Amino acid sequence: MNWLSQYFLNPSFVLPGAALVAIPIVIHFLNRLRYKRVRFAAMQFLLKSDKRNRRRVMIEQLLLLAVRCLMVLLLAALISRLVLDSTQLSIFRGARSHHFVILDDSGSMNDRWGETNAFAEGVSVVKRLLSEGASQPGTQQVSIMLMSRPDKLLVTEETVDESLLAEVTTKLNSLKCTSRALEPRVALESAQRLLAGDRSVVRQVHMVSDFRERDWTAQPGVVDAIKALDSAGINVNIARVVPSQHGNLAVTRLLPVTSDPAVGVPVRFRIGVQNFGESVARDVALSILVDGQRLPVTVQFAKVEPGEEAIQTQDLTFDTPGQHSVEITMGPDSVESDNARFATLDIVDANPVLIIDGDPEGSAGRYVSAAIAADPKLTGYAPSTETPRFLRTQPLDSYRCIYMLNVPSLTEDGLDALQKYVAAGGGLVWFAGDLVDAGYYSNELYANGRGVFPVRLNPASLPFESVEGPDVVFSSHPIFEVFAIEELQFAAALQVFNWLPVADDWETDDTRRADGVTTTATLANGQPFAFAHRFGKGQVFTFLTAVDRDWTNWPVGDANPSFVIVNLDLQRVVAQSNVADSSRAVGDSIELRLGAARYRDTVEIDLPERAGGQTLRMTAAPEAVAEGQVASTDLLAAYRETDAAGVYRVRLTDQNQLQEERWLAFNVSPTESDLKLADDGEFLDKLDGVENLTIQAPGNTNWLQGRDVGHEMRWLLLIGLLVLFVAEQIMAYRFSYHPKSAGAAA
Amino acid sequence: MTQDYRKFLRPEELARVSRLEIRARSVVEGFLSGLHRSPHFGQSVEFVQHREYAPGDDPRTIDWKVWSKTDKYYIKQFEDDTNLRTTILVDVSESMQFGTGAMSKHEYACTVAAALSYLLLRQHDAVKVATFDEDLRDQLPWRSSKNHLHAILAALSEGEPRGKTDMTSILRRVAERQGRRGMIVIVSDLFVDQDSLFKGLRMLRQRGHDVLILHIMDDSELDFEFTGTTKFEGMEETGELVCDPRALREGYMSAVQEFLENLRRECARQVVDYQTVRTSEHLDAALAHYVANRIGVRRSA
Repeated sequence: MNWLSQYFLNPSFVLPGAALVAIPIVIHFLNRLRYKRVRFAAMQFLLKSDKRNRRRVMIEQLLLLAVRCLMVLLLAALISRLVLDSTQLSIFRGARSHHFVILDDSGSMNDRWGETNAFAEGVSVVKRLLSEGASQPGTQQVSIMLMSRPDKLLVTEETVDESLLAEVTTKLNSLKCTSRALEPRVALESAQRLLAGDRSVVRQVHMVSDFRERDWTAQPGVVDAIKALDSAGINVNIARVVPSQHGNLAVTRLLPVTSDPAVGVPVRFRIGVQNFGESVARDVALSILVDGQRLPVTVQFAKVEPGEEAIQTQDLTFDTPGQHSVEITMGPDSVESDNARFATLDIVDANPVLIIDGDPEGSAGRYVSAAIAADPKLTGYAPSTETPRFLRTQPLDSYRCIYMLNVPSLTEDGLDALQKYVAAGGGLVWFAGDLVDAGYYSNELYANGRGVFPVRLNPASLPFESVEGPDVVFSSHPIFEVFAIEELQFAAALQVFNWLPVADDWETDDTRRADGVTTTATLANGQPFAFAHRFGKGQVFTFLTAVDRDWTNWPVGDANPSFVIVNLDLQRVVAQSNVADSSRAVGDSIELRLGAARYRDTVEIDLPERAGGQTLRMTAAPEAVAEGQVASTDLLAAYRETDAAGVYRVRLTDQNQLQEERWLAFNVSPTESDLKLADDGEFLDKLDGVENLTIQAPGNTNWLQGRDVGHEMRWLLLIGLLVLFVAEQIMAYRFSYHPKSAGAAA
Repeated sequence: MTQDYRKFLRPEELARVSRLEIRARSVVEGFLSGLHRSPHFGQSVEFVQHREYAPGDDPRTIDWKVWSKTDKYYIKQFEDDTNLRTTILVDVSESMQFGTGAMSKHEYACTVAAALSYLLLRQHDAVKVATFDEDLRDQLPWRSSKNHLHAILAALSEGEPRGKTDMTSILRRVAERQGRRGMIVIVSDLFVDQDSLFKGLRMLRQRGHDVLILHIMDDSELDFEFTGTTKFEGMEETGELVCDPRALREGYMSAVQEFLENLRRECARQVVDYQTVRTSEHLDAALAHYVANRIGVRRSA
């Protein structure tokens, strides 16, 4: 019967009051049963009169009874304090209530207007709620949860009084809004779990939020969470704190296009600005800071359409190896936290590329080395050519990419090392050759589709007979973009003399095969020529010809420029990126797993300026393991308070007292920049059937006022009661047929 | 002070008198003494003419007023009325038991019948009294001797009211037995089938009888001033009803008026003298009406 609490200040009186309706009915029937007996002679006239008047008398009696019942109902409504407009209802009503307040402190609550912002308004609502609750000490209980901390309540089921008010006010004043992207669903579900065992008469969840469309209407999980609360008998009250949508520009993208930045090699960044407002933004200027130093360049966007993201590119060159940070900022607007975006790069002197050449006498390795690092200072790559033995003797982690050229076969540990390298994200490029053991490739490397090689091969290579037109037809894969430029005539210049065909029974149609392997190029005779597929986190490219002038003219002759371009593009696409993951969002934790043999347990984190700029010292601890499991020797360190955007510099110390830095960029999620507000009606439509939900308009404080709500309704009820009383008296007099007064009779 | 005597004719007073005979006497004597002072001389025996006094005449018949004016003795001569045969029919059905005043309708009816009998016997008229319910219960022959009064009173006092009323057959039998034209007085509440009543009356009138109906009604039957939820249990098996009597009063009154109007209209049409008599009225009202009726009959005759 919680729905009653939506309409009554004292809902506990409603049902007993309504039950009193039985009183006039019972009295009516008692009167019918309590009669005097009269033996009467002139019954014929009485019966005739009864026959004529029965219906009228019955209607009169029913009417009178109805009026009396209505009077009782009105009286019950008056005592229970009926308030028809539930938005007018105070939350402080009735018996003991538990108010579970969820304060939205997600990034969008940084929305500011005038002298205030959404979070400050939210805090103000919570204070007001507590203040009103404290005016009825001992009757109200409150819990307060920040949406960013559903696991740790700010206040846990405390009885509201002045001392709690003072204590919580201090806490609230020191709160800062995070920049995180948070889901109301999580907080609502957490609230339901925490309230499940509560036995208060009335349980209310107050969600103090900006009520954005993205969080509420577009999230089906929220609807389910509210329905679950409703079915658990918990009222949900959403207090909106943002009166109207404000325009907002956000830096939504700062991505290094280059995945292998090296000293002196320009790194291309894609910079995006999105307009979340409803009007066109013009002349948006962005500043660039590298390692905290502002560069004398700005990125200028002449116009950003509403709802659109405008993207530009900017090249930056780094002169020193090591960690670097890039920050891009714009002028202030509604939400401050999304006006900057950060990226970190680990700039190396050169990117090592491993070339395994199966033919020590061959020239394949030289061709590839020349292609990717004719001048290492320009390309930033440092290729080294090794034999297949290298795979099992040396660590491969430091290599950005491995070429396997004309490798006949691998030892078991060599193959294992290679598979681990690729699975962990390393890039791998296969080129065939006359030494290739097709059977080994088909069996061990292909391994029924589970291996690092994409296809089964025919035992022997075949000569390719050139036909009219290009020998190879390339797909639209990014690494082959250069062949799409017709003016360059690279495709026509490329000739293939030999190729290693796939097994005869190999299904050449990717769609039918559906094994994740993409045919990226085919020969003119329709046979597959190049493949791309993923193995673990790594990317594998395979060419069924050799880097050999007897097999193709690609690395030499007229087609050579395209070979250089394709291999450099391959580095970008296939190679393991050493650009720090820029997709970290504020709120994500920094989790470090340190090998105890290599690192000491002390971890230092330099917080970004927005988070205070101080240095935190943490001690990594051994991982807790369940009983019966073997304990890992790794040490774990975790830092979760990444609420501010910026670069967090993590310093590790190895056993030789040498420090190693890892720079991690944390950015605000663009989802928090979209300030479009949800529509109450649309949201309520989704919650069809949910009774215990109210949405308070921004600025409406009636629901907080405990005293004089329902004032007008009380007067209406009183007037109604008076009218009914008069009507009842008149009807009762009229329908009981009092004899006319003596004067009137005369 | 012509009304002084009537204080003894109030039903409340008469009800204290247990014996019907004394009650009847009281009524008649009171009535007659009242008549003595009444400006109306109409009695059961009609005045015809004055005649000069001759020796042998009863000096009580001398009209002293004429003597005072003319100084001559005149006596008043009255029509001999010894041939009048009156049948008084008293309803003793169950419905007559009802009464909310000092007397029930039955008691009132009996008192009226007794008083009427006494009056008639006083004038040496032949009187016959019959009680009836579904059938004629007691029938006495016509007698004009004063002793006959005792038999009449005995018949009236006998038994409690019971049973229903069937008018047609009773009036037919009365008509058949009363060979000579006479007067028939019906004392009843007339809670009977009206068609059968009118049929019976028509029969009596066709045989030349003068009929006088004294319709005895209780005040509560005429005014219906019950209050509070009441269960009315009908007499003579007329059913029962729980109701708020005030709510039905208007309809009841209307039904009663309709009933009375119908009675009056039909009685007038059949030249039957009809009078509603309340049990709260003075007992002489019935007698007065009888006398008035007699004068009317004479004059019309």
